[in-house]
This record gives sequence, C-alpha cells and structure tokens, in this order.
Amino acid sequence: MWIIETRELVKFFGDIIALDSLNLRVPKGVCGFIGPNGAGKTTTIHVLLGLLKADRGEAYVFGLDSWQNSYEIRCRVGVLLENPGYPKGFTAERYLEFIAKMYEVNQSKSKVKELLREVDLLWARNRKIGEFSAGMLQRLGLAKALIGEPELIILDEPTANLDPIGRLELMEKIRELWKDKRINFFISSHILPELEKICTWASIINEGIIVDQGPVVELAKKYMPREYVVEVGSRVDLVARNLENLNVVEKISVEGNKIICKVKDAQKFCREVPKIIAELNISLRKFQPLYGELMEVYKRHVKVKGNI
Amino acid sequence: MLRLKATFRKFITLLAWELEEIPYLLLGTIVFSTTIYVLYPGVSHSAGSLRIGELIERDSLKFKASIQDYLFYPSLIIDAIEPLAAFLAGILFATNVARTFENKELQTLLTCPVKRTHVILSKFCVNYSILYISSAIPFLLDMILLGISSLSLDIYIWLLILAFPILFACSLAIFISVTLKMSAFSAVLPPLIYFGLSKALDTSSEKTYMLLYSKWDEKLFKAIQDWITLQSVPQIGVEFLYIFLYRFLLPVLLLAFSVIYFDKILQLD
Repeated sequence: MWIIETRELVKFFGDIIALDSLNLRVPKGVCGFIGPNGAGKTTTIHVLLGLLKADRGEAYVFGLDSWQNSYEIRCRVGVLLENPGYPKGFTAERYLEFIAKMYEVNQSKSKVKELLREVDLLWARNRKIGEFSAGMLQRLGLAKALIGEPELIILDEPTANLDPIGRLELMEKIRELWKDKRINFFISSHILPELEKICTWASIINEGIIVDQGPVVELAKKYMPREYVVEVGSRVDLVARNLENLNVVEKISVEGNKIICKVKDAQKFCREVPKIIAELNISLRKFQPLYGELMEVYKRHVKVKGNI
Repeated sequence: MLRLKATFRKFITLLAWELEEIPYLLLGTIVFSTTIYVLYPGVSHSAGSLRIGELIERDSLKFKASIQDYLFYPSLIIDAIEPLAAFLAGILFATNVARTFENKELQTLLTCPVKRTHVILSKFCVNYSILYISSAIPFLLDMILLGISSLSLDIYIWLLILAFPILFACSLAIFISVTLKMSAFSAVLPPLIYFGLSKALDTSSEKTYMLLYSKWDEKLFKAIQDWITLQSVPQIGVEFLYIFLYRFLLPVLLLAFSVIYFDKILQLD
C-alpha cells in the first residue's frame, strides 16, 4: 500500500540526531512532506535515495531497501534536490540528453526539447548551465526530475527560486501528471497553501519525528481551523456585531471588509455564518480558514516549539 | 544479455560525460607542461630528485649526471615524469572528484539511475587516460629525438612501464579524493605523499641518488624484453617482489579500496 515507508529510522550527524525513530508512510498520489528548517526533511529524502545510510531502522521505496537497492529505486524515481549541483560547462540540452540516456529514454533528443519547452527553457537550451540564474536552474532540475517519466517524483523544495507564475505552473503540472499519467509525487515544501491545493496526503515532521500524517481531508477534520476570515461586500460592522453575539466566537477583529474570528467550535461556526449572512441579505465574498487547513495542522505541532 | 548491454551503454555515457567535463584548457596545459618538464631536464630537475652533476649509481658504477643521462635513459625520464604525474593527478582528481562532492554535482548525478562503481571507475579511467596520454606524448617525442625507431619493440615496452607510475599517481589521488572529499587536500597530498615515499625508500647513506624507481624500471624493462624475445624467463627475486609491490600491488589496492569505499560506505549529505 505504501510507496514510501520508514520504520524507526535513526540518523546521526556526529552528536546531532537528525532523524529520531522516524515512521513515515506515504501512499500513492500527491503527498506533502512538511516541516520547519532543520526538521529532517532533506535528510529523509537523502536516506530514501540511498545517498545516506541510516544508523538504525529501515527505509523502503516501492518495498525496496533504500540502501541495498538504491540503484533499482533510482531507476523508478525522478528527483529534484534542494541544492542540486550541475556541470557548469554543459549546455542545458546536452546535460538533459545525458540524463535521458541514463534513464534509457527513447528518442532522447526530441524528449529533451519537449521538456525544455515545458519548463520554459527552450530559448536557453544552448546556454551553458554556469550562466543560468537560480530560477533557471530550478526549472532545469524540474526537467531532469521529469525526464524518465518515473513512477515517483521526489521534489525537495521545488518552488524555491520560482516566481509566482512559475509556482502556479508547477502546481498545475504536478496535478496534470498525477491525473493523466498517474505519476506519484512526494513533495517537501514550506509553501503550505500551494501544497494544500494539490496534496491528497501530508506527513508533518518536526525535530526528526513524524508528528502526524494522513489524508489531508482527515487532517483538516482532526485539526479544524480556529481562525476564520469572513469578507463581505457591505455593512461590515453589522455583520461583525452579529458574529460577536455567537457564543462560539472567542475573539473578533475587523480589517477593512474582512472580519477575522477566533472560534471555540468551528463546526457550529461554519454552520451559523452562512445563515447570518443570508438573514442580513448581504453578499458574502469570502469565508475560509485564516491560514489554510495544512497550516493549521502545522502550527499546532510546530509553533508550540517556537520554530515558526 | 540485454541488461549487460544497457549497463555497458550507461558506462559509456558516463565516460563521455567525464570526458566532456574535463576542460580542454587544463588538458592542453598538462600536455604542454609535461613536454617542457621532460625536454628541459636541466631546468626542471633542479627542483626534483636529481641535479645535474650529482652522482648517479647504476650497474655498481657511480658517475655524474648530465642532461644526456635523462635523454639517453628512458627509465630516468620516467623517474622525471613521476613526481609531475603525482602533482597533476592531484589536481585532476581534486577537480573531477573531490570538487564534485563540494558543489553537490556528485549527489545530483547519483540521484539518476547510475551505479556508484560506474561513476567512480569512469572518473578514474578518464583521468588516468588523460594523464597517461599527456605523459606518453613527450616521452615518445623524447625517444624519437634520441633516434629510437617508433616501430621498435623497446618503445612499446617502455610505454607499458610508463603505465605503472601513472597508475600509482592516479590511485593515490583518487584514494585521497574519495576518502577526504576536499579538493584542497586532494590537490596537495598526492605529491607530498609521493615525495615522502621516495625519501622513505631512499636508503643510501651517502649523498648519492640511488634512483630506486629508475633502477627498478630498467630491471623490469630487461625482464619484459627477455621474456618477449624468449631469451629467458624472468627470475622472481626479492627485488622483483618489491617492484611488484610498489609498482602494481599498492596502486591496485588503493584503487580497489577507493572503489569499494565509494560504492559501499561513502555517504553524500
């Protein structure tokens, strides 16, 4: 059932414990791997790819041992590392052609051109990698990860260095690849609102431990957001007063047309708000959790330790 | 069979990758500097193991070294190439192996479906070939200038013997690059270790250069020549064991250890 699974995984760097009995489970689909800096996300990915050997515990990808069967795993996985290194003297096209040969891609030249077009680098195909900007390098890394049409793509901070449009395009691409080709994704990122839109599963890591994991829908239910934003077209004060009268509302504040409510019982609050707005006959522009569902889960586990 | 073909294809791809990565400017510099080094021994050897005018011991005779000694004895040319090979191997492997750890190029490459043994062996093969070719060019040039025919068997035996010191230099450099993963140490340590070993092996009490390697190479040359021309079977004496140990076994062990370490132990964080 799990495409990635670790059992009691432990990894030390000298005296520092990077992974502390990590039990990660990732099913098929688009999965998010969330945690603050230094939580152990990159170390976990490196162990899964056989770049690092765990000191204790087991790690499996497609049921294969990540250290013993690293080559077999890499044949089925595309990867974008957080800080990848490229041969600076190669052109983008030549580099991807080499990578395509390693993945034994048929008609590698046309495939490379197609990928370069998809990541918007076709115009720079004959430029040396050493002359690339950070954003261009990120796009090149994405093309590398996609090249063999693998069963699983592991992306470590894929949206870093991408502009807002590039981020949206990447998320759209991930959604498309999962929908059309059933390519699984394991994405480590800090950008929760983006992940929330595409992930079906999330694993939250903090200080080398998985603090919670499961389907995003269930996590969202489990950790119902406590803060909501209600945006209305007019009569903000009237709506705010009505909301304040609800006994589930703890605190309320008004910012322009937005009313931010901290609530005790989210389910009841979500039922009551549309009723009040309808009774007042006012247009409701926005009604949603303040931080997004994944952020709420993340905040509960991570903020208490002062990491964000 | 198909799997074997695929594996072979990937190894060839890696070799092509490595060849393309070596800057041609560096390659040109190596060939050029080696040529200068060998063809102008009077200049370059003043800082090496032998100075013009110092005593050489050969065939139980001692005589003063002159430029002609370098030009007329291939074993002495190899002796001159050897420290430079150790120096250049250090630079090549520091650039091509140790630096790829530092700039994460190796980690990125090893996320692709390539075998670790193939990666390290391709790096070794390419660097070894470059160093061997860049040493063999001036070596051959020197032989031909001496009037030895390029068709002569002797040249090919000497070219074979030249392969051993280059093997030692490369094995030492790859060993240091893989174990230390730092380009600065990888560039500096091989020549230092080479000179240290030369000093340790130099057992002469008087201020005479025994030119141990040079003597060994001459014996090796004679043995191979006799064996090929079927004049005699080489006698395995203690000296031949030393030759085997330092010229072949030690480099092969260093290389084997480096490959096994890279494949089974090395972690890339």
